[in-house]
Amino acid sequence: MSNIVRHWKFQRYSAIVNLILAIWLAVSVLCIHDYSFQETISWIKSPINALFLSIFFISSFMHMSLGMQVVIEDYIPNKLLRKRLIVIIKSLSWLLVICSILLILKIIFFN
Amino acid sequence: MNDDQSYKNRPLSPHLQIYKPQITSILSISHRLAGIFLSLGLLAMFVFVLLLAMGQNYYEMWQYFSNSLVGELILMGWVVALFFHMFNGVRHLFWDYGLGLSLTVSKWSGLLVCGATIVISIFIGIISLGLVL
Repeated sequence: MSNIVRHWKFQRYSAIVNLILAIWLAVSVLCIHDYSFQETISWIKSPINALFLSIFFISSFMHMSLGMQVVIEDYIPNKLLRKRLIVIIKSLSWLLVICSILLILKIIFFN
Repeated sequence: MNDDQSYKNRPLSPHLQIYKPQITSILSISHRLAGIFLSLGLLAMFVFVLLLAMGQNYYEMWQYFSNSLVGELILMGWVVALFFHMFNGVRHLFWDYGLGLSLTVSKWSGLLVCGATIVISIFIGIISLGLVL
């Protein structure tokens, strides 16, 4: 599979995962009544929420990275700058995905 | 066919001022703008989890933001952008299957996307106002 086909497919896969999880997230956010520290912590500590939230971060950062790449390719004419921006976006996405999962694990085990 | 070569020599999109504004083109650029705005929302969600993990004192910083008028407006903006991007994204997925590509259907589906976004945004706005009051 060429890079372009892979890019196209993963943009769609992540879109479908995001579609499902964004609905779950919207319903959950509306169901939390007050956003006290304890209530929000216990929301994340429930295993299904922790799992879905982690998948949401993975899929959303992937979707963001792929989408921003297309925008950068379309509107940044300078080749070097374009390349560097894409590398920055990709690295940042990876970094934030890893950090967000570590933070969720921290909340589950140390709060 | 060498994909990497065609990738490097890919032409840039014609810039926006070339096009006469129509619902289809306006929704197309709005989809991108909403996507860029939602990237900031995703970063904010990351910051939310970060502050939550750092402890109660830091979490109160988030609450200070989300309870302010500016914070609430930005959060509501993310809700509107999320549902718009979501509905319009579904429209894109139908197009990928070759469905609804005709001019008439894409105009109507565009209007449907706008209508659905307005309805659900008002719905969520009312619910969250009810939670505040």
